[in-house]
Amino acid sequence: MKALLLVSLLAQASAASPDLPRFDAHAVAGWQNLHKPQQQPYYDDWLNAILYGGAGAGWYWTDHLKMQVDFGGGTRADQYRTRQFLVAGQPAYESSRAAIQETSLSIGQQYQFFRNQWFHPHVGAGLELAHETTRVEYLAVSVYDSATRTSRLLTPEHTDSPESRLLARGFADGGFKAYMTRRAFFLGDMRVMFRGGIDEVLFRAGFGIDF
Amino acid sequence: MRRTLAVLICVSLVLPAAGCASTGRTPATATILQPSAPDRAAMADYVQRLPAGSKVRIERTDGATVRGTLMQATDDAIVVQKNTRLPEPPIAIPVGQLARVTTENGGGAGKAVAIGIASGVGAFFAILAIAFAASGD
Repeated sequence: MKALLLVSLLAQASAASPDLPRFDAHAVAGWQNLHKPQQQPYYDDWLNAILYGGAGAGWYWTDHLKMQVDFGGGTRADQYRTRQFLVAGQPAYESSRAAIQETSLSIGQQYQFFRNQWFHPHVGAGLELAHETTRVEYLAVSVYDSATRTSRLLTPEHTDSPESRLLARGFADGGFKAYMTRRAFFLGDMRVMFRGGIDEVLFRAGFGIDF
Repeated sequence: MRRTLAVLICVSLVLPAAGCASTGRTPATATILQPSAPDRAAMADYVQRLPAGSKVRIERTDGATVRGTLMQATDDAIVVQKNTRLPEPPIAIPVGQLARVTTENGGGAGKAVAIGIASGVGAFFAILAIAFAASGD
């Protein structure tokens, strides 16, 4: 009897293991950091005070390779800018506040380490389409007239209508899934977007489920 | 004189290494991982003494490692169920492929700690994100 059991098990040894869930879905919150170069080199190029929220789903086409689609967006962040220029030989300064907000849709490919374990690190890369909206508020610009010794209003305070643009960026990411139950997991990752250098850094954490 | 001395030192440093390379020192062979017949018998005897239900770590002769629960052991093979998140069918490993079998105390605590750490790291980043978003530039 034991021999029969062994023979059947040995025969099964090379057989495929049971199928693992092929789909997962998740919701995340995170910290978004946008890189927006300024004309003045000593001004901060990074917008860091952005709360991110998103959701996504993935499909495992092997036990280790997964395609993932994510959608998300960040809260509005402000960037303070200044520009110096000359008017009739006199310096003038234009100060503005740019309110920037971004939503994005991405598709990527991940390699997941290990199989059917409780903790799975992963690395990945992909492409992201980001919709960026920018609205700039300008303070009034005055210039000093040395002849009359008075200030003269050059341009009044005004706000430009919002501008939108679509950005296509590549990204690389790394993170992990830590299972709390057989199907529910906690996830964390870091994603870096590239567009002529590092364009955005995103840290995310959330929960998901396999199905 | 200095130059001669330098050349001699260089030659003395290089020659032994070259000698070692030329003698073709025998590398560690795989015989360590291939139990001989008496070893096989000893291994079969040993694994049959382990109680069913033991948490075991199995090193195979091909270098692979399996962690799981021992279900059965005979003269020919052992049957284990691997430690996986989703249960998998037991597998049988021929005794001839066993390089080492050790018992473990179970990984429940380790797993809980790992999940705790992961959750803690995640919570830390979440709180950090909220703090940064709330603080403004």
